Amino acid sequence: MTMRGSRFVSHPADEQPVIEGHEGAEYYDLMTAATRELLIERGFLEQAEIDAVVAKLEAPRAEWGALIVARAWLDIAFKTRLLADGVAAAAELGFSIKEAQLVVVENTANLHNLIVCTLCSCYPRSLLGQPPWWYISKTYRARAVREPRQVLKELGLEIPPDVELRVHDSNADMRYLVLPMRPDGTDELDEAALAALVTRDAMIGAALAGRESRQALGGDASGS
Amino acid sequence: MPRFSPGDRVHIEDLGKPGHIRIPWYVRHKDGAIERYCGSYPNPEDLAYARRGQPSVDLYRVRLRQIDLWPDYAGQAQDTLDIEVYDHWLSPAEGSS
Amino acid sequence: MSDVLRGYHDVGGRPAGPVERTVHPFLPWQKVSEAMRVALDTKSQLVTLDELRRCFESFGEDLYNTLGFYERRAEALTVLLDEKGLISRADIQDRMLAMAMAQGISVNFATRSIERLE
Repeated sequence: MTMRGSRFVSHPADEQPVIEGHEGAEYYDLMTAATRELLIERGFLEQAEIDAVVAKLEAPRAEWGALIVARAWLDIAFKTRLLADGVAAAAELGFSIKEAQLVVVENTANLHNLIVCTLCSCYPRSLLGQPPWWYISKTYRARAVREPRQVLKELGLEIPPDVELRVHDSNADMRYLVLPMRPDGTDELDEAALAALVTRDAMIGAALAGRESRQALGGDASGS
Repeated sequence: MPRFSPGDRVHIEDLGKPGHIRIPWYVRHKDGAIERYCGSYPNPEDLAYARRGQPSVDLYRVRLRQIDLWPDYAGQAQDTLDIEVYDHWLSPAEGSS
Repeated sequence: MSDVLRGYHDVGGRPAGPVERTVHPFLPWQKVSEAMRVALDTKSQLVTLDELRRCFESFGEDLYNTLGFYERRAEALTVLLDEKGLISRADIQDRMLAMAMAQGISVNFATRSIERLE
């Protein structure tokens, strides 16, 4: 462990590589088991309370967000309400968002939005579940604000030069959802079929909605 | 009444505070425009030390131009970045009324 | 203007390598660790998210850069429980040793790793 004097680093450390990952997960598995036993023994928590939160962590999924997007594509009045107040609009469809506010940002022919949290990994988990691993990686957190076009290119999405790319750093109390553009040729599709075109990555801004984007960028961190 | 309105030009301060801070280094000392007022929230700088974060502080989203953030920005001139900034980290930008 | 005090977690804009697209499962211990933190917060505001962040933003850059996302949070939870006098680090380590012995493994606290006994 470093000493207190090195809590803060300034410019010279910029050149340090930013890495992610550790092979010691077994240690934390054991530590978590020990902590759990002690918290229960001492009456700070009950097992049922822990189980209830685990269930809440496991329930949300990107498909919930996709349903919101599909509804917004079909219902202009709903879209207007969604852009004005994401939490209230999600509640209309039965989704209870636990984060303070959901800011929904709309992609257009002239504007593409991309979400990142540079300080940690803020994400609308109560709606979409756990973020993909690349989203919580330090490389994405470091680069998405400074070279977003390059990062998107690496993730397989090229933003045309005449389109404005807007990065949202999810650094404080808001959480973000990208409303992707509805793909061409989908006039005949119903809400469920439209929702199937919306991937988790499209709602982060790392992909477009549509059949060609069904191959998500890596999997999620949920193991499902 | 929030101190700033959408469109107001603002300067993001560097308060030089240690501890838990939600204003990233890369936006400090930069100018942008208020995108929206987000409401009032408990101060995370306080919450981080088991205090209640009161009084709560006004939060805004500020829009900055990427070319103002990074001198070597390799994207397009129209590219932007939106970020949340608490009121006490903001001042009116110089030259704005 | 003041000097820049930049936390090691404040990585926005730093040079870094290609975005990693590997997939890691959300492991059971990670869920339990997160759930304990959330349950303590919900039940009695004993451990808030901002406190947890403050812990991993101040427990040292080497550790921060070595650990993965959930490991950082698990480590920070231990620091916080100790700091608040709920459960001491020594008690957690003692319990880890007892559990390890029952499982036929040994714990190396210096390297934060598990070794299997032959």
